[in-house]
Amino acid sequence: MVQEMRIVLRNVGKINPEVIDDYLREGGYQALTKAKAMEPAAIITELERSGRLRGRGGAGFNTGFKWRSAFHTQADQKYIICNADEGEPGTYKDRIILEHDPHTVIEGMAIAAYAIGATEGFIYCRAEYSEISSLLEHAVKQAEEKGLLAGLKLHVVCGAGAYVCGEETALIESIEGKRGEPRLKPPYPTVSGLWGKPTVVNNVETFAAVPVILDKGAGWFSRLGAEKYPGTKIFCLSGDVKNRTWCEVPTDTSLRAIIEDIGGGMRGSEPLKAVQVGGSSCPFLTPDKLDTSVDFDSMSVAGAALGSGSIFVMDASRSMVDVTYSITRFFQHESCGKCLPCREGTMRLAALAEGIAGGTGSRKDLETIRELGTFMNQASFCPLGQSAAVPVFSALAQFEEDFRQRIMEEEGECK
Amino acid sequence: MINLTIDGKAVTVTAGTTILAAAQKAGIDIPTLCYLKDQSVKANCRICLVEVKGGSGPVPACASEAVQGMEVITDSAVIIAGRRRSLQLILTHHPIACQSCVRLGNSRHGDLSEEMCSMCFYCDCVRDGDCELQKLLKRYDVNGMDYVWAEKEYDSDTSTSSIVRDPGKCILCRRCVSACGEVQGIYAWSITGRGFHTAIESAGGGLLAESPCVECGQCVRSCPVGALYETQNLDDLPDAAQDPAKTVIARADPYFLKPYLRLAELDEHTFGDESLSAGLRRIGVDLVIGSVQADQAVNTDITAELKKRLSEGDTRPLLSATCPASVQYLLTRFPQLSECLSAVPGAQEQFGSWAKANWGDAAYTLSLSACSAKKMAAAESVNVDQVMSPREINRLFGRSGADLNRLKPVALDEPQQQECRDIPDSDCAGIQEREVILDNQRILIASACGLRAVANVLELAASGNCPYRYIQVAACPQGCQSAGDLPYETL
Repeated sequence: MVQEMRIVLRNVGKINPEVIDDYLREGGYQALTKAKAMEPAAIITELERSGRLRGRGGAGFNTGFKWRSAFHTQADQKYIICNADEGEPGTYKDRIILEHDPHTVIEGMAIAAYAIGATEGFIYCRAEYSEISSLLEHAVKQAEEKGLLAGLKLHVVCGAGAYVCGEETALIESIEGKRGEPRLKPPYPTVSGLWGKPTVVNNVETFAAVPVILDKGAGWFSRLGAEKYPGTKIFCLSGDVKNRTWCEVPTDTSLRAIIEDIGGGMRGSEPLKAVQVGGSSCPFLTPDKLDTSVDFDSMSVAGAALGSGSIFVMDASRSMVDVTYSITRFFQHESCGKCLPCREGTMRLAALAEGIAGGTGSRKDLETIRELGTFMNQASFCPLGQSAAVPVFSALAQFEEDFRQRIMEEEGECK
Repeated sequence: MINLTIDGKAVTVTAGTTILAAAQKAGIDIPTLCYLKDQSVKANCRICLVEVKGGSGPVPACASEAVQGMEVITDSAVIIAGRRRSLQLILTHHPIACQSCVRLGNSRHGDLSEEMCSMCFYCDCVRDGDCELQKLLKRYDVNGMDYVWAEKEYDSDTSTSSIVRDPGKCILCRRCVSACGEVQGIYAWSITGRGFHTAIESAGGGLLAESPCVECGQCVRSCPVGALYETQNLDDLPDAAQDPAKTVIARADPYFLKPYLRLAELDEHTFGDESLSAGLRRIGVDLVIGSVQADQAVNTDITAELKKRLSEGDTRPLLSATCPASVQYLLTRFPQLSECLSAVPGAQEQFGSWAKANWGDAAYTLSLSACSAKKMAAAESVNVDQVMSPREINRLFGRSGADLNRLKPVALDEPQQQECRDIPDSDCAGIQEREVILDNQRILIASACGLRAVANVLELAASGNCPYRYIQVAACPQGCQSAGDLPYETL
C-alpha cells in the first residue's frame, strides 16, 4: 500500500493560506533566512549537485543548472518568473499548491532571486485561476509587509487563456504584452529572457520544493525517490479511476500503485485499457507497463513521459479513436498560428481524426496522418507543434485495431 | 573564420554567419518565404529547413548559425518532402485562381511560364508570375492536394488610395508586419486570432484607412505574393490615350526606370529613358518629360523658401513636404510642426501643375513612380491624373505589345538637364547631417530616411532644440530608391 509523502504539500490542511502567520508558525521563510546567510553560488551548488532537483513542469531540466546559467550571465537586471500557467489537460497540481500554500512558492522564488541576483519577479498565473491570482497578490502583500521580500519586487500577472504560454518564451512574450508566441532559442531565457535580461522561469512545483531542500538539506532530498529524479512528485488522477484525486508520492512509486492504491482502481467493471501520463502531448501506456516507476527517466524508457504528472486512465469501453480525436481538437484550438506546420497541421490532423471518428475515414487517411505527423514533428517551431502528433502516433501504434475497426465498420456500411 | 560544408561544398564564413548566408556565399539556393534582409529572423515558414549531419532534426537555415566543421544538407529527400508538404498545406486554402491557368486548362504549376504570364489577361494575377510562392510551387513541382480544399472567405481592403490587401492570398509570412512595425515603427498591421484562424489585419481590426497607416507602401514591397499590392488602374490611361481631345503627358521619377527594367528583365545598361519613352508612346502617351526639370524646380523653390526664412530670422526648422507619406505622418503625429512644413510640393505635383498650366484641361498627366504615397497624393490632387507603378507599366506594356527590345528609342520631349542644386538630396538610411552655406550663412541641414528616423528628427524639431534649419524627410528606409511599390530583392 503506497503512502503519500507530503513535502511540497506539507502544509496542506495545516494552515490557512490567507494567513502568513500560519505559514511562519510551520517554519515558513526559515529556508529563505538560511539561504540569505549563504553565498548565492553555494545555494545553486546545493540544488545542482546534491539535491539534483529537476524541473517539475515537464521538461525535467536540472534546476540548479538553469540558475547557474542566469547567475553567470552579467546584467544590470535579472528576473525570476514562476510559471503558473497550468494548462495541460488533466493537470491541477499547481492549483493545489497555490490554493493551499502560496507562501512556499513565494519563498522558493525569493531564494531563487537571491541566488541568481534578480530583484524583480513575476508569477504568471493561468487566466482561469483568477481566484488564485487574488490569493497570490494577497500573499505577496503580506510577505512584503513582514519585510520578507526585501530587495525583491514580485508581481502577479494573469495570462489570457493560451496553452502555448506555458512554454517559457511564449510566457515571457505574454508578460511583455505581446502575442503569446514562442521565441527562437537560443538565446535561452537565462541569457536573454524578459525584456532581454537573464531570466529564470521555473514551474510552481519546482519553486515549492526549494524551501524544503534548503531547510532539510540536499542530502536528505536526494535520498528520496528515484536516484536520478529524486524527491516527490504530485500526480493528478482523472478518467476512469474510482478516486479522481491528487497525491504526492516519492518518484520511485509505481504507476500501478498510484492508480490502485490512491485511485482505488477502476471506476466501473471494465478493465484498464490505457494510461496517458503527463498531459495531452504524451504517449499512451498499455496495462503491461503499469509497473514503471513514475520518475522522469523510467517513464521515458517505457516509451512515455512524466510530463506535468497528470494520470489519465481509460478503461476498455473507450475507443482510442475518440480519445485521439479529442486530443487533436485540443491542439488545433491551442496552436498559436506562428509557424506553418503547426498552424496548418493541427487543423488537418483534427479534420482527419474527425473524419475517422465520424465514420468517413479511410485507410489512406491513416497514412496521411502518419506523414503529416512526422512532418509536424520535424518542422514545427516549438514543442507544441512538434509533439501534437505524438499521442496520435502512440494510439495508432498500440491501438491500431480501434482505428481499423472504425474504418471497417464504415467501409462495411458502404457496401 | 568558420569552415563548413554545404551539400558537400566547402565554404568559409565569419563567426555568427547563418547557414542561409553561408549557403548564399557558396552559391547554393536555400528557398525562403518569411525571411527578409533588414528584418529580424522569424523562422515561421519553415521552408528553409535544412539537415545538419549528426543533428537531432531539421533546423531553419535563416536562424541557425554556421558552426566549425558543420555538414549541412539542403536537399535531402526528407527536406524536399517537407518543403513539398509545407507548400501543399499553403495551397489547401489558397485561391484556386493561383493554382491553374484558364488558358492552359487543367494546368500544372510547371506549365506556367513567367513570360507567358506577363502577357496574359486572364487570371489577372497582380504579380504576373513574379510570385515567390508560385516560383517555389514550380521548383518543387507541387500541384495536387492531399487534403480537402478549405479556402477562407475574405473581402479585399481597398480603403486607401494606394494599397490593396487581398487576405485570401496571404501566406502569413509576416513580412508586412515587420516592415510596418519593426522597420518603420508604424504598426498598422497586426496579427489576430490563433491557430488556423490566425490572420493579418490592420491594427484595430477595421479598414487600413482607419489604421495608423501613412501609405509608405513598405508592406507592399515586402509581400512575397499578391496579398498586398499597389492600387491598380490599367484602364484609365488607354481610355485617355484614345481620346483625341486629350494630350497625355508623362513623367517618370528618377527611381522608376531601374525597378521597371528589373521586372521586365531588361539590361539597365542597354535600356534608358529613351527606351521607356518609346514604350510609353506605343501605349498612347503624347509627350514624355524628363524627371530633372520638376526636381530642379522643387530644389529651387525650397532653397528660396529657406533663404527667406533665414533672412527673416526664423530659426524653426524648415521641413520638406516632398514625401507625401512623411507629410501624412507629421500631420497625424506631430501636428504642432505643421507650421514648419515647406509650402513646396513634390516633383510630381510640380510636373502636374506645369502641364496643366501649359495644356489646360486637355492635359492628361501621368506620373510614373514606384512610390505608393504618390498615389495617395495624386488622389487628392487636381493636377495629377494618374500614377503608375513599375508593375503596372510592365503589365500594360506586355499587354499592348510594347516590347522595348523591338522599339527604337525616342528622345524625351523635355530632355534631362544638367542639375544645379543648392541643397543636396540624400538617400542615406537614418539621419544624415550636413553643413551648407546659403546667402553667406553657414547652416546645418539634415536628411532623415525611414519613418523611424523621421520620427526621431521630428521629435528633435518639436523639442525646440533643433540644430537644423532644413530637414529633408523621406518615409522609406533608404529614401525613394526603396519606395513601396518596388519589388523587393529578397536576399
